[in-house]
Amino acid sequence: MHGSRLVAAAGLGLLAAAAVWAQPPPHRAGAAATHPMSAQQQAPVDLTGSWGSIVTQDWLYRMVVPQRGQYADIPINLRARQFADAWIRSADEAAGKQCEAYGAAAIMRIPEHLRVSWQDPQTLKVQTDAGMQTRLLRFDPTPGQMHTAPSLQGNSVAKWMPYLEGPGFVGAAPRRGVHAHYGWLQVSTTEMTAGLLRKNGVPYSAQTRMSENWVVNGDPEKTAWLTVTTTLDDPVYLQVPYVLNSIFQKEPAGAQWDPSPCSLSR
Amino acid sequence: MRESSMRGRGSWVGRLAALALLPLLASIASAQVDLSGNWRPIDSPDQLNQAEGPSPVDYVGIPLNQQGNEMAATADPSAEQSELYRECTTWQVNYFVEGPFNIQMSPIVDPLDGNDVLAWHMSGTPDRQPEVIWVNGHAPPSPLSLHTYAGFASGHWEGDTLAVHIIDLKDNWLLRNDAPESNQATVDMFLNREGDRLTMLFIVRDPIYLGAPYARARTFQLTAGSPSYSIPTANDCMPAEVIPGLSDGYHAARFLPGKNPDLHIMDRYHIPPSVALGGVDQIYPAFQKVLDKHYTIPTGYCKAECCAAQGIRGTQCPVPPKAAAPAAAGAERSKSSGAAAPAHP
Repeated sequence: MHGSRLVAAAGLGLLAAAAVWAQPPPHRAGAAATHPMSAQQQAPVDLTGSWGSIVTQDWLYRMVVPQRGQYADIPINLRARQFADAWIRSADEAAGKQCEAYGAAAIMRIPEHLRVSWQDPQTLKVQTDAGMQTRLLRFDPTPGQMHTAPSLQGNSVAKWMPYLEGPGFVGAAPRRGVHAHYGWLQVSTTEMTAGLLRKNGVPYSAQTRMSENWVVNGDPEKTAWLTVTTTLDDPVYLQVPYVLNSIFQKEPAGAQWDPSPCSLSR
Repeated sequence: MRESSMRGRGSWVGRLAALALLPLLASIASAQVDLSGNWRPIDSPDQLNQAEGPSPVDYVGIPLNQQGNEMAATADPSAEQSELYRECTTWQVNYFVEGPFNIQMSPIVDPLDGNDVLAWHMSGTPDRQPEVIWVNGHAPPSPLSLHTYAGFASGHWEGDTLAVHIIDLKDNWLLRNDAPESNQATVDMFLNREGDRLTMLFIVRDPIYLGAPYARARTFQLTAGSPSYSIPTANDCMPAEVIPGLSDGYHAARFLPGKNPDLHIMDRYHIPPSVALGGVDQIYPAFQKVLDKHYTIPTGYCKAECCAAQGIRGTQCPVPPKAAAPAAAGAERSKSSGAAAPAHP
């Protein structure tokens, strides 16, 4: 009997400790009790600022325009190959289609600098100097924002994947008042117009669906790295989903920013 | 009745205690994400390099410093094979993200309590030394300790990311084409688990041969089945043969500067030797302006190494019917030809 009391007391003590442990910090809980947190407030990582491409992968297909017929690394199907074989750079340039190589499906692979900022508390704005493009990553889009005509950068819906307590909680809706300190950003993009994956004519279609994971890592040398893992699913031109990683390094704000127009020759 | 009541109260006490312990158990469990399993690469950067290996003197995109350039440009692979100490060389740790093969992760659990994960064991093909990533605060070895091809790896969790720092590596090759890596190199590795995917970011720093960090990333998918060991174990060690005039078994001859017969191998891509030798600047976007002075798009249609290597991902480059092949052997057709670009469906 005495032992049971001890166990009960220990249990109650632990329960009390657990209750305290489960409480969010007071300064966060108060704010969240009345207003839902915006995406900006929920951000488990800071993506804002200036980022520069680090081109160590697929250098021959990114830093220079590859030769016609150079399709290595991309799981194209026969239809894509026939399209690319018949593609004429000069015709696209004459038609003013240079920016087709800077659409959402390809833009993160272009050697470039990014400026990431909050356009509003629910929208991340990603600007590129190469091709001078702007992507809007909306966390809570209205139907009007989503049902628009297809565009070069398409419609992107973003979602934080916060790490709260364990693997089972990743991706769960953040609990009211709790601010995760780890996690990544998941972005789904549709409604894109057709474009080029590679500046030698490798196409992607308007039916392409793109998902991205944006992950920030900080190394012991105090360098912040952004890895964007892109998965392209194109039922028209790809045999299997095309998965690729684009690496960026954090830079001093604006130091390297060098806007340039879309080009199919560089 | 009393017995029943006692049983009920005992059960209540037990449940309360279990409930109270739940957060603690959860916090222990949440300290680590489960990385166990067989992971298959699902992306294909530089896929041709993964099959036959990169061409000699193809160091584009590697931030080699001047000493790294010189080491790479003068290396003679045939002579190096006569260095006895390289008989059983395994590939450097970064080949976990360079090669086409699966990796396997398994926890090393504390044998006393059978619960705490002390380290993660990462292995690939037999030609790569397994990596043991200590996550229990294991002290690093003495600075005078023997360097190995796996080095000493310590890790800690940052949310669902395992951040790893590797030191004490043995000198080796960064890539199979003799891009050098010294025994002073360190590796930072981030294993980001995103659902059933694992994206690994590798950052190599080498104060001897690199002028900037060399970063690579790779994405893997959790998959059932056994690892894809396609390299026979017998190939792990290649007998070295001392070649009089080229090697004494420990030191190998090198090409004299400018005399490497493969120095112009990247000419086929219109990449001049000065760029092919790699360099710090060429991993940054601004290098495109430098290339404007050196590079013109090759004319004609790609003839070699134009498609994904067969079999690596189970996809092959489609071969168009002969009638549909590019008629002009790929010569860039001019505006004046009147040809129109194809239209997307």
